[in-house]
Amino acid sequence: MKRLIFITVIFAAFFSVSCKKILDIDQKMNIPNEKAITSVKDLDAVLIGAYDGLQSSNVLGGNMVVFAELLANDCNVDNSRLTNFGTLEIYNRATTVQLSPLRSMWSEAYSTINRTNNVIYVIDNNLLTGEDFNKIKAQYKGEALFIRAVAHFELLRFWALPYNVDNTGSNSQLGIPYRTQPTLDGFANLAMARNTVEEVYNYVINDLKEAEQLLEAANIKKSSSRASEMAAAAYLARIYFQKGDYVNAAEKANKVLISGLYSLNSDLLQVFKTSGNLASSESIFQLVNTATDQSNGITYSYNPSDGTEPLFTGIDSLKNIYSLLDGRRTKYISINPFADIIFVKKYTPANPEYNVSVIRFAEMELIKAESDILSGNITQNTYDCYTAVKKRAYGSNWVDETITQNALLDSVWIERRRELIFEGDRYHNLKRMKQSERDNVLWNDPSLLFKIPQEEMSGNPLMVQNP
Amino acid sequence: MKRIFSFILIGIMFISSYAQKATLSGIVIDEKNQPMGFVSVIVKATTIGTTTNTNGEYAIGNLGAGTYTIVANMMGYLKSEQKVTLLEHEKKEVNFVMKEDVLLLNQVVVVGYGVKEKREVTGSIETIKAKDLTQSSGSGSFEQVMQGRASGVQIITANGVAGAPVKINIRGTSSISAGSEPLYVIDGIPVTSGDYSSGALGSGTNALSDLNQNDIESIEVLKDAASAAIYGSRGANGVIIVTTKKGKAGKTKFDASISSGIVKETNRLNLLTAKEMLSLRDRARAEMGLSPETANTLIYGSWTRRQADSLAELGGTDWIDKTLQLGNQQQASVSASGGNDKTIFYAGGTYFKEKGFLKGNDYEKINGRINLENEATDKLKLGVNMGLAFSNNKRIPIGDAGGLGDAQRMFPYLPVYNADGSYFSPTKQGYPSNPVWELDTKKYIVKSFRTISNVFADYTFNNSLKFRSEFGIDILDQNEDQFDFRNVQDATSVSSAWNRHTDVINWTTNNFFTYEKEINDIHDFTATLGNSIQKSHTNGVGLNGWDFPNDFYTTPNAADASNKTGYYYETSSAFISNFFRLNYKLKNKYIAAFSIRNDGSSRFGENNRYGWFPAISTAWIASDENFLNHSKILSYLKLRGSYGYTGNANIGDFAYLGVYYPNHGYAGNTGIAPGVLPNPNLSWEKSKQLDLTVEWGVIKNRISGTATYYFKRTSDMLLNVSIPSSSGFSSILENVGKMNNHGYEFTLVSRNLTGKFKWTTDFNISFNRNKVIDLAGLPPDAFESGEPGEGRVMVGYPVGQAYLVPFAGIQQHDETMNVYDLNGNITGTEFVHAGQDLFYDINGNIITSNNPNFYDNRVPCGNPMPKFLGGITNTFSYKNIALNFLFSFVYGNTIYDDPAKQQIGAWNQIAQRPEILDAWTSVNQSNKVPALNYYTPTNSNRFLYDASYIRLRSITLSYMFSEKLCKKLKLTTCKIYIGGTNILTFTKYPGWDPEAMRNVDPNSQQGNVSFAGPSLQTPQAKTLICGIRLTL
Repeated sequence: MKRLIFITVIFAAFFSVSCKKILDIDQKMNIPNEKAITSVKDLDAVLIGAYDGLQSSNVLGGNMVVFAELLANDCNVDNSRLTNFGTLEIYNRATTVQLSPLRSMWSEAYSTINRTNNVIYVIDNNLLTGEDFNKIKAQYKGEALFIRAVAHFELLRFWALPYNVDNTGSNSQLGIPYRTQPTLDGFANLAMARNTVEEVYNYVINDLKEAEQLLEAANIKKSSSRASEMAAAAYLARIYFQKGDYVNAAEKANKVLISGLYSLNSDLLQVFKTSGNLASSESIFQLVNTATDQSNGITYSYNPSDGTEPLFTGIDSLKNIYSLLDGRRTKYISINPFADIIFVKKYTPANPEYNVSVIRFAEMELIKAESDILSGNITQNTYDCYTAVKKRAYGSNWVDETITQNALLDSVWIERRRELIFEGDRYHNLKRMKQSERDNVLWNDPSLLFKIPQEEMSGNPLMVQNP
Repeated sequence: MKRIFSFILIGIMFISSYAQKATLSGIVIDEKNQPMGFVSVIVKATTIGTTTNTNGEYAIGNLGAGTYTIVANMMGYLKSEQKVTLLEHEKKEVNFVMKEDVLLLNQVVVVGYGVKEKREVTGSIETIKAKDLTQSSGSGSFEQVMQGRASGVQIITANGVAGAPVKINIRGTSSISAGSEPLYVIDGIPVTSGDYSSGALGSGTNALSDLNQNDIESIEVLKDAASAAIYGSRGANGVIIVTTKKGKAGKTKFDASISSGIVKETNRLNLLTAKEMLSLRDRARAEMGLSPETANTLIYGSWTRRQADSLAELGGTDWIDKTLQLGNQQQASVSASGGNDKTIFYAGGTYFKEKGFLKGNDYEKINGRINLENEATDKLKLGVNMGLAFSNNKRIPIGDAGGLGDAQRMFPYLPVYNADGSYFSPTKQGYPSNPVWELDTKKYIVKSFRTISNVFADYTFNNSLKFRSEFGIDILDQNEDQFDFRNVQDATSVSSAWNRHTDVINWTTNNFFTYEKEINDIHDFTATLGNSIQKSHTNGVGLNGWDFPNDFYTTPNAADASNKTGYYYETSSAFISNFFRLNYKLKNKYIAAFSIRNDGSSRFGENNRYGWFPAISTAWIASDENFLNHSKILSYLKLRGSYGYTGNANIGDFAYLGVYYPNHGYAGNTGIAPGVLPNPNLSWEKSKQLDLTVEWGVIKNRISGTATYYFKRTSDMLLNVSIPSSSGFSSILENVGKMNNHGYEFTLVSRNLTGKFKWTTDFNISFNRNKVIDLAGLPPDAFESGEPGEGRVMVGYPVGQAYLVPFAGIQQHDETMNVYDLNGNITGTEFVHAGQDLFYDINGNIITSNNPNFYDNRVPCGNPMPKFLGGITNTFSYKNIALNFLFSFVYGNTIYDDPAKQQIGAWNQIAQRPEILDAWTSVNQSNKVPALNYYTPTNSNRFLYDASYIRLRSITLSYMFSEKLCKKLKLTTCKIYIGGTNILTFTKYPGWDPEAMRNVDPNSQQGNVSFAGPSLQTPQAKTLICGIRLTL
């Protein structure tokens, strides 16, 4: 009997010891976190992942443009193409915590931010070593900071009350959490309160300034697919402009304008119709799509789909904003003589392989012109910047015009609408100008704000919902 | 097993029964005083024994002086024991009266790593025997046979397509996000189950449907924790143990059967005819104030009103009829079994072929099996069970993927073909595709090869101690060819082909000791100690090619490199377990059992790799007590109770691991991104269950039954707990949820007539209440993000609760109504037309679907789970004729029929159900169906239907040829039969079939949550079969 027990125990012990190893199975389909970043090549892959996040059609590659147009006043919307639990509620300015495109926009943008924070964390803490690592640190951190700032800024403009330009320096309305640390542990305290709008602007500006310097140090002035010194400067111009800091806006815009790296292309539509690493001469930052990585989420909304009308058509009054000689009258829109519908041609045909232009030279010209006027620094260059955009649009039809200083601001405003139409600019620009959006909704009406998504609300005890 | 053992002992006895010691002899008779032959009579705890001769007499000699317990035993009779004290050379007579074992108390029940006599079982185990399996033939998987037969087991077959998935819940759903399927164990080997085909066709498949019902000896369903705890972290959803047939020593017995039958759908959805549809169209247009259509009005593409009218004159197109057919099935099966005192074997083969009731759906399978056992020495037994299956399944699109799904949407006034013979409108954006074109141009063939085999060795150390070692493999090899031919009418359309290959390799080894010891005839111990290791590996690879140079090509290779894509995946899991079980029996009537298992799995987080799963149970056979022994009425009474802990490890492989995902490239560079946060504490879902049961029999067990109460608490359920999504992650998988299932199960067997004309009734009914207790604060919509109405999960309600805005009737006159917000405040007014549909908001105010907060007014509606379900089987036999039929019933559950939302209202988009004729008009002031002109399809409880039903699940009428005739034909037995499944259904459900399931994997969160919202259903199959079965 004793012997039997002995045998049994030996037997059981043998099996459980020798076979414990059987439980150690490697996950081969996905890399475990601790093995993800062990070389510069790995770090590059994570940075690429951050661009991929920005490129998503839920983020800058699509919905951040489309949803801005749903709320602004340039477009008519075909109701049959609005979807329940999505664009319909956005269009009606009655969003809920549960709308999946908004949950995706929020979570994917923040996921992108987390990817950049992982890159920055590795660089700041010198978790890699070696010559290659030292070589790329400035560039990678600069790119990561750029993406982090852009993602936060674009989220802020949808989820927070607008920056009141008459109140510079003390915009204490609730912004969004500005995340600068990677999330490595789901059980750590991840709750974070909303920073104020002022704080977020400051963070964004600081990040972009640092990005600008780092990319300058890395000698990346210009890039067709990634962040660059000029892209950081251009975004800074956009941000200063949005907050009414017109001196700085003009300065940053001017930096890009005089860099000699970009020019307005005579082909008005080229910037919307390149694919892959091709870029129009006026593209400062674009999100690249290719045949195997198609993510342009904008084109579909402006084009008919098998018998149905496009989601967006231009409002009637757009007929009158372009003069007959303006090339944009036929290139950006098409006025159907029979149906009385203004179709949008900026994104025709519906090709998801087209790159998404995020920031381009014409916007710099317009920011410079308007900022000069609003900061009281009108010079010849102010006129030149304004005229350059118009001139390009008129092409061979161009005849010099004279414009009084009093009429200049109005002219720049209308020019901005003409030029940047359907690019998601109008919505934010109306807010800056304190003008009403569609249906005469006031620029700072809280109904325009998106609701903080359900996961954030239930997971973050410090989060405060929008009114 | 036991019988084989005694057989050998008897053999040994014959050799040694001539010595000159004490002798025991006697006669064995039954309750009618008839002598009984072939009864084994053995001396307990020895190897001495014999069998009675045809006169019921036996004799055992060569016994030394002493006290012995003599046991008389025969299959179908209760064991009878008597104590005798023998002196030297004494000759004593001991007679036995054998009582019929009506309740099959001596029958062995497979309990996992061993067997027990039914009488001694302390847990809730259902047994289904081979005879029940063969009675309900059909293409269905073997699990379906349990429907209506096993109490507490809910079985929903997804649809009537051959090889369709089956959702099985034993005592309710025990999980939300993890699998809720039971563990399947075949001949000791936990096997691969589930769906490995692609979900491209609007329905799934079931890997277990390739098994052969004819090979099954018994199915045991382990329901309570004490029974299932021996399977530890995989026992929480219950365990289904399948045991295949074994041979019997003796002359080789051949069994051949052949059957053939027809297959038809259980029901057809009633839709408006072409004429009715066109007049509805006219009526709707008139109500909208539109002018009547002229003959040349184009009403669908280039199809004119004139053409529609003339087609309607000819009866229109019955699209459903174009996709259905009268199917048929054939089965041929041969088996041989037999052996000698050293070796027994069973060998069988079956060919099954079905032409389904859906056009193009063909299924065939070939099964083979050899089960072999050999006594190598008197200590060592070796054996092998080998099962092979090959199936060839021609799948077709159904549901949302087309085929019958589109046939129930397509307008009846449209033709199948154009005048030139080409297909009419093969595809049209926003409208259904031509179902006939779909069935003719889409091919999908799944070939799968499966082997479930094991080898084993039994070693007997001595009377008490035995050791068994088993090693099994389960290999599933599946190859799928899909070809979608291009639409030749569209120059931009291209053909597309897929080839997919999936391999699932799963091996197991079980090694355990069994120790049995009886002390002084009072204490009886059985102990089992062993371990088990299992590893499973799955990989799948697929290649897709499109746009072929020539229509000859139907495989992906022919596509240009830029027109190819593919996928690869693999995953693995492993379990390592130790288990121990102790049964203790006192005076053969007080029974207690304890078991414990330790499970380690690669699926559990580093901090929780191993778990313990203990269970205790006890039983008291009260009827063996003296004070009940002589009761005239009560003939059997057993009280038992059990409590134990089990787990659900169906949580996915590597769920605990934090990983980066690939495929995050940008601008031609490859990239990765953080995908999942790690949870090193992740563990199995925990379940504890109490089971209290009374087993009883009265009037000599003419009427017997069981009554059970159980309470099952599932805790540590895996939920995706929200974390701030601004962290870059929206959730982390944690063990936090809680859920209860509790209920009652009753079974009743009544032998109503026992004479020449025999009538037995078998009845079972079970009541289960499923209730979610804790969701870590997650809102209902966190579980399914699809349309409202699909199942949701809410604290206090069952899993899969429909969550809808209540329908409030129809507005009867034009009126300006207030608009309410969620607090009941009036925020404005709205003009509401007469005929518009109205709804209640959460404050009881009437709102319309235009309310900006419309879907925030959803409330729990209906019940996805039945209030009770069960079955009643009646068996009649007279002489050589037997009739057996089973009604199964399900009561009190609702299903959300989403297509009804369109089919009752969206008259200009899809075909309509007759209910639409009741739509509101100023004359017909319906309060049920909104007016045709103001309808927007809106989810509400208007489309939530009672899905209770009673169904004649199976029926068999058989005739056994007389022995005389058989002898003439040189047969042992010959039986002819006619039978069927799902012959009759009684239900108020207005759709296709109340037994329906959404197209989801039943073993997933979707399967747990949104099963009760089927879309564009496919009905169940009704079969009518006749066959003949011979043995020789």
